[in-house]
Amino acid sequence: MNLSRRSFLTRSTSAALAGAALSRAAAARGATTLTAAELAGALPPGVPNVDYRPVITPDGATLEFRVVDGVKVFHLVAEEVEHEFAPGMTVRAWGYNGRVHGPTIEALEGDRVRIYVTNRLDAPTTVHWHGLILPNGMDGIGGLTQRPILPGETFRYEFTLRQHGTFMYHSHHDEMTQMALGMMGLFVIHPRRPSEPAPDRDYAYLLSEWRVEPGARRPDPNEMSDFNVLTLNAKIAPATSAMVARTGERVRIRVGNLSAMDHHPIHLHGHTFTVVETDGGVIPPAGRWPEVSALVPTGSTRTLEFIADNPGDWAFHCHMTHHVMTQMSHGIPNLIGVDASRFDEELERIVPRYADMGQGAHAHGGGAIPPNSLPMVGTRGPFGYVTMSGMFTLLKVREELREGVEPGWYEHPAGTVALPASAADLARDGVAH
Amino acid sequence: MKLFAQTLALALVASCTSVARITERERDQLSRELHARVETAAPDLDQARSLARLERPIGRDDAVAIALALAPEAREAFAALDVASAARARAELVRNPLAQLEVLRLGGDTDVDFDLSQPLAELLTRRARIERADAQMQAERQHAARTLVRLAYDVRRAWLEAAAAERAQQLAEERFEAEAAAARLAEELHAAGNLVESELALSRLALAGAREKSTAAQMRAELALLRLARRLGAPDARVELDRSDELGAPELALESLAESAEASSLDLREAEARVDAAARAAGLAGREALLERSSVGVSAARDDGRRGAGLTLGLALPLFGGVDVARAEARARLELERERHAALSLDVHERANTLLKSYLAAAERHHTTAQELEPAARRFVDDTLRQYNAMQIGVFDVLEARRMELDAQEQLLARALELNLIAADIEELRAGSLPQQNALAPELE
Repeated sequence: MNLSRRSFLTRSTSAALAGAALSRAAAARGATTLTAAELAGALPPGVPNVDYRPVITPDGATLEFRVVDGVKVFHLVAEEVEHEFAPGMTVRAWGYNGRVHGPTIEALEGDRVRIYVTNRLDAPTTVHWHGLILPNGMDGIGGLTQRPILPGETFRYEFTLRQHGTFMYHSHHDEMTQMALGMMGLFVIHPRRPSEPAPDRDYAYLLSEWRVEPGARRPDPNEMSDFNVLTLNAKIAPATSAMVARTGERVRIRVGNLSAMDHHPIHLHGHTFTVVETDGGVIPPAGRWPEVSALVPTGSTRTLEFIADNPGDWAFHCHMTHHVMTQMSHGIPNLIGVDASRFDEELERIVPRYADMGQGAHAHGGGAIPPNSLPMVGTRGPFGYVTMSGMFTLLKVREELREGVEPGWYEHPAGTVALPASAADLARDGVAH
Repeated sequence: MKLFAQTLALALVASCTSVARITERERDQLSRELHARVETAAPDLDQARSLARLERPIGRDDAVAIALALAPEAREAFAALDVASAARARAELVRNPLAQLEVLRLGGDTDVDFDLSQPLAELLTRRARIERADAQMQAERQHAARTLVRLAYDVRRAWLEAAAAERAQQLAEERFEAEAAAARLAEELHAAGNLVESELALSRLALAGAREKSTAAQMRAELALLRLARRLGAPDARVELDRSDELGAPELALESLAESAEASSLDLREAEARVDAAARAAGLAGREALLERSSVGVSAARDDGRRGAGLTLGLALPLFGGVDVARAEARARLELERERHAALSLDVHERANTLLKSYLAAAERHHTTAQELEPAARRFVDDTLRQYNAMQIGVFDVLEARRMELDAQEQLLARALELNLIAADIEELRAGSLPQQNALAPELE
């Protein structure tokens, strides 16, 4: 192309103006550290561990890319996946690149990304880049902004990342089915020029919910309200890997929620945190306040930050009590106030062979349960059984940590663990036993 | 005189026949026939030993053996055979000679007449009468055998019904136990404030229904045992069934059932013997009518001091058509027996075909129930228990599944009884007795 100086200037000016307009629009709708000129031009692709500290997706993975002519090229393959929520429970789900959920896409603000999506499902699909500011035709809404990607086809999405923060991607064609089967992932964009201290530990979680009948092997997308598998990065406790931090470290936990019908109040024990970002952008410091729980509405992300200053094994979980139970049912009689062991006793009279099946319905373990199910499973802790599963994991804060080595259970300093009160204690404090 | 002497000698020989010998022979023959036809141990006709066998649980074969010794129907059959044996013995006999002495005093004289005569009819038709009696004996033997075979299978059916009724009672008790346990839990939950009144009422309702069903099943089982005891000929005995003798699917040879049923039919053999006897009776009728009052004898007299002796011969004169009537009646009886045989043959054929189709249908239903429905219900309960252990459902959901399983077990029992009763009918048919029409499974409920 033969450009005259006038036409070059005209184009540059137009581009700059357009970039400024986009930058203002982006600033209004999301966070950016880029100038209008930078947004209008081509920035060098961000390099992990150079331009940003990569995020950790516990029990997940990060999508690899290669750079072609200054563009980061990713490839997502939508396909059926055999997925294990925890040992003993596997489902046939739908995901990307052999995983459920799909791998985390990670890039730097200003990167130009080209994402190929190959459909190896038997159903048409699309991918929506949830929260990203991009051209309308790249938004991935089947029937609205593009035609669906038919089985066997590969589509190309390409756009420049004009914001930073925690975002998500998911199917936006027959969403009810495809998201219920697991077609989602995280999309993390790091700021090109961070205005705040970078975290020492940067964790990312995607929350989702499923309906899997105990004994079944396929999530039920028709479920509207009675979800019985609540996951952190598609895992349930005790299969959720713990986060770790050294005392004094700045920890960031990004939490996205693509549950079908539920919001999740995510609660961290032993610390207070602030919500520094939503997927709408950075929350100005003046607008932040300390929290111990953050409600993460469905279709949203929240980024929590805090200094890990309290050693111990701290629970991190959804505070909806049924969301830390796996395959919990509510169609059973209310047994409070009666002797539950009598039920097993009488059940042997209702079905005499029940005695041969092993009992333990109202305890944890012991009785035969449906295959491929984890009803009421919890975690074995240092003091006994932890009766939580589902959206539950731990933050292990230690004075010393060896990177890559699971630190084990916290060793409590003497006198810092609750114990049965002694008679002397009770007498001293006038507490009736 | 020589003729008379020969006649008398012949009558003497004929009168030497022994009823006891014929009776013993016929009983022995009947026992062997029965053993060959009813697949059971050789009948032990000793009543004391049979009563002793009732002191322990009995299987279906035990029941048949006991009944053959104790049941009045069995003894009646042997007694009827004894009657037939006596009739057969009588056929060999000839009537005793008739002696007549006439003494008349006329004035001063005394006249004396002495006649000795022997009826001719039995003598001259003896062989034909024996052949007719043999045919009738044959018919009676077949009849007695048929009676015993029927008794054997009536007993077997009564045992099957009693065993099924006992099992039904057991299932009803299990249902009652289950409902009672659930009702106790419902009471506890209600007392704790966790269960509403209407759900408690439902639980009580189900328990009452189960209790009623259990009581009815117990009554049916007791009645079935009473019926069996009556069939066994020991109505006051406390019969206990051997539960190891289960109501499974019997194995039967079904090929050429109609043909083999016809070949082995005691009813048909009896009917054939009666046709034969009627045919022989028809052949005899004319001669018997003709010789009805005929006799040959000797006569001696003293009259006015004179003495003399001579032969006498008495003949009935066929002036008024009695011979023709006798022949016509005999021929009509022969025709009647032939028609009876033909009708019976059709019955055997039809019953064989009906039973075959009934058995195949019942076997299919039993197979489906045993191989699919009942196992599915069982698996459902097992999975329900696992779901209960997994706290997905409550105890009342398990009860609901258990009800379905008990329903399926009752259905399987009904199908097994139906199949075994039809099988007993087929075995009875193969053993030579035409089963009663109403021998299909009664409803257990």
